[in-house]
Amino acid sequence: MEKVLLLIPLAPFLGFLVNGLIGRKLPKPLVGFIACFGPVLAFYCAVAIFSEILRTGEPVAHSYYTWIQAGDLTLPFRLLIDRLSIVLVLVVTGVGSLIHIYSTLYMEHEDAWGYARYFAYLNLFMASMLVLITGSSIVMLFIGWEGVGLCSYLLIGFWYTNPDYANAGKKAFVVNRIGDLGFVLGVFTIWYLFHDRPEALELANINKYAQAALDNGELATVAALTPAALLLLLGATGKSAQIPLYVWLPDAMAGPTPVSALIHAATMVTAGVYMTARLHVLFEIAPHALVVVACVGMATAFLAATMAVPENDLKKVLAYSTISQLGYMFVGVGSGAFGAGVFHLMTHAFFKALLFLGAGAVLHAFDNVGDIRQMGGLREKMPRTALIFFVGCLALAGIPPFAGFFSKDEILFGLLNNFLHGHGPVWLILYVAGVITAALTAFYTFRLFTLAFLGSPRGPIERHDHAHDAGPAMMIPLFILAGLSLVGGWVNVPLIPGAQNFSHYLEPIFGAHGPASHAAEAFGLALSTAVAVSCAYAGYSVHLRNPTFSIREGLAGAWYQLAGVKYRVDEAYERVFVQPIMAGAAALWEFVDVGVIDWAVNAAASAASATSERVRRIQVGLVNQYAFYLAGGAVIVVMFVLGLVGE
Amino acid sequence: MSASDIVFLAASIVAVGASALVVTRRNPIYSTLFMMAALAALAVIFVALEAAFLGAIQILLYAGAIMVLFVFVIMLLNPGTQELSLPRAPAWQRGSAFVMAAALLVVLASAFYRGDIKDAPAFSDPTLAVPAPPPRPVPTLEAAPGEPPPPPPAEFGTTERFADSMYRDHLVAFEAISLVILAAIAGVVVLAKRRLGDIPASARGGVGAGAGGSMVGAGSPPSEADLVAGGAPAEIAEAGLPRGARDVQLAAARLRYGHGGPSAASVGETHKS
Amino acid sequence: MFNLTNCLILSAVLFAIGAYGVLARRNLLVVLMSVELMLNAANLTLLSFSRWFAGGGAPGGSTALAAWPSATWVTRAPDAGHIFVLISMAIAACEVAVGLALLIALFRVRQTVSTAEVAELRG
Repeated sequence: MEKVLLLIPLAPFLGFLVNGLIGRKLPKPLVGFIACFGPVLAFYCAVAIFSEILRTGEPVAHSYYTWIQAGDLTLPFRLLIDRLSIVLVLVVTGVGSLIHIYSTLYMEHEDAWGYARYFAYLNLFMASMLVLITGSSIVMLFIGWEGVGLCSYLLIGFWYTNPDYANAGKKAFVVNRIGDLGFVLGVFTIWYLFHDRPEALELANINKYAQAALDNGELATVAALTPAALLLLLGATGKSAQIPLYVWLPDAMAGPTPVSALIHAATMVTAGVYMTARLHVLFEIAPHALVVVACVGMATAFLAATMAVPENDLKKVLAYSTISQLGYMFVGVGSGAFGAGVFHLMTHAFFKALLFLGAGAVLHAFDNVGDIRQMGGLREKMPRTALIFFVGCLALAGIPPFAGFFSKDEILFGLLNNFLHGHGPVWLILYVAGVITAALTAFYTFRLFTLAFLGSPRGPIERHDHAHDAGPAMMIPLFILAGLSLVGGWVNVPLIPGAQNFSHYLEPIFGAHGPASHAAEAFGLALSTAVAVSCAYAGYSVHLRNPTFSIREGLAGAWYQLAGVKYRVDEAYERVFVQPIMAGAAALWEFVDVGVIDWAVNAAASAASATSERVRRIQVGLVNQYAFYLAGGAVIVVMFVLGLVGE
Repeated sequence: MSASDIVFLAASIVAVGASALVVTRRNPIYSTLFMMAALAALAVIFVALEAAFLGAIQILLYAGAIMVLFVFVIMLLNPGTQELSLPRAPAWQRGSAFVMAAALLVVLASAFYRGDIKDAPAFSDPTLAVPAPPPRPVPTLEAAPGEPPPPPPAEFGTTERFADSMYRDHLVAFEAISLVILAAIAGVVVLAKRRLGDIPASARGGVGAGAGGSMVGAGSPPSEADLVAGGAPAEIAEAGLPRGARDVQLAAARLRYGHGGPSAASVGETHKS
Repeated sequence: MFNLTNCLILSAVLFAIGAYGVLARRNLLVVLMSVELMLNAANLTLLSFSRWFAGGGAPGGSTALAAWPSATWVTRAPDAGHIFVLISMAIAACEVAVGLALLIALFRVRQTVSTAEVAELRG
């Protein structure tokens, strides 16, 4: 079993090595095959491990070798898959394999080197993400964390000859790095608190020691867990694009669309949610940590939804939508309903990947023009694409019986539940905000669909005539994902007794979480459905009649316009952070690098030069003078020999 | 004050005085003559030091050959002209040289004025008498048993003794020095050889015109026709300069600038530089 | 008066005078002569010591060997000093010959025997 376990991250990694080193020389179909083989094999192994876990009920783990041994720090290279991580492994490998297959057709226009490079990076990403999920210690998780950050940078800036795209990649990496700093400081804090206990950096042990600290009444340790948790949260906001570090995700749409689907919808951005769910005990015990998580998540979800409404670029709408849905996941986790957060993670992977790949199909056929103001009526030319896109929109908007409805509703109900259990009015505020956000989500989702696929064409007619459904390599993954978006939520149907399979499955990890009352749950279901359907219809009908609909007057108008420029957050960051740092760097360069270091080096050279200039004046060419020096030297030497001078 | 003391004192005064004059005369011929005097005085001291052979060699070789060589060269370079009697060195150079020489003297004297030899007896003292060698055995006509023993050394400082020790104990040094002399001869011949275009000694006006032909490697001075054929401008031939000086200028110019004949003005300038 | 010390002092004086000549005179001929003078001073030193050690073999005159017991060459090669002086003279002769040949060659090119005027090898 341990070989199967190792194969999960290893198979894509080997694909990376082969494609990275010699892929340039191989024919494209072979490169594509090698690239898809790794993730598919990993998926197969994941299924094997899943059945093993179901059979034994125990996690599968193995230490392969001792990686670090330094003082009291022992870090083995240890992979562990339990009930929680197998869910993510299956999602990552499954959806990842579909996206790999899709990419073989999507990226066909690249040259051999670009094609090989793309798949090498994609495979490396898969390997890193799987290391992140299956790593048994927080350091192993961080290895994968960094790896996916690197691959994100490489893939966003894939077409690096375009400076805008390259800058987008750079921005993603830098913002991620800031989060990583928080993460690392969190790890240091945990180490500082627990380093005298054995294997303190294992994820399971962190939870165990936090619980032990609480049970033993170590108040100082427990209080110190909050900064650790918040620092880890900062890392999660960087990776999962929450406030304040979300600004890289819309720019990341500069990368190829399958990259956006895989990394920025389905997998990498969920790493923060996974980390929080993994360390749920830590977050539960640290005072106020979970509330902060929930508030950050909800604020992000709400603001991102407002920014998605006026957005006109196809992929950027989906990007803001991703940020918003990630916020939902954080809210779910923050409310204590960790299972709900993971459930939404899974369903979101299905329908958001579907939507992105569908958008990719549109771009592929539409000459890479993503402005939805120039689309319209694509349903006639691309009927199958329109169908699957419709399915994805239904799931995203949270309309039953599609997947998004079940997971989103469970999160909202978790909030309501917390309020009803008396945990404070903040949860009611969060619940109301969540419902409003769901309304906005449905609205902009169907705005997008209507403007792109319905109505009459608004752009140049040649581009319209050229639009067509893509080939099977792209359509088959789309249909598979559409199917999953339909049935994916059925693993956890509320109210029907015995149908909450997903929650029961995760109970050994997160503990049981019964609802307060069936009435409240039914109320929540009805409210969510009503809101989703009505706002979806509103979005559809408003934009069908008036494709250029926007609000300009009054307070709503001001807000609409402000959301349209994304609240000028990027500009604010630029002014407050980026420019002072650049100015500081320029000053350092001028005064330290040029002024001190270069000056010192040049001064050494010119000192040598000046000294030799003076010393060479001794050589005058006059024999008498040379004889003089000779005699002088002889006198001194003889005086030394005779002992007249010298020590 | 024994006889040897007086001799030593006189010889040393002559030596010091003559060498002082050597280094201060402007005319190098005077320096040469005074050098010979100093060398002769030194030869006297050598003899007083029981080195009779070397005293003779000093006169023969040093004063008789080396100094004469100096005289030859001075004559070759035509003394009395401005090139040989050079002006004095500037005062600072002479002063610093004097200081350095004085420093050397002090250092050397302090080396020699050691405690263990400071109050050495005079060489005429019987304690420092050179032992006389044993008498030579008279050679007999009888067959000698095996290898004949080496004869006892001759008297200290004589030619016989010197030859004995040199050819017996120091043969390698002797052979080596003969090689050095050979090398010196070869080098001197190559260095001093006359080349085409050199200023011939006979072409310079004044004393020594006839001596040029007898020099080692001497060639004939170039004739006027040769100079004109070599591309010398006609103005020089007509300039009315004395023949020797004109040739000197041309040859010097040719040395400096190669065949091609610069103008008379530049030739005149180069001669002055 | 005529003892080892005074001989050595005399040679030191001659050496110093020769040194002055080398340092202070610009006429190359005089410089060469001064070098010869220095060589002669050295020869005088050598002969003084040779006489000094040769005289130490008498039964009553063991002062020399007593002063320098490490001078074993006195018994092995009592004439070494004289040989050395002859070699020195021969070398001096060669050196003067070569030096004068150089001087002649120099004079042919530069028409001068002044050291101050042949200073092209400057830095």
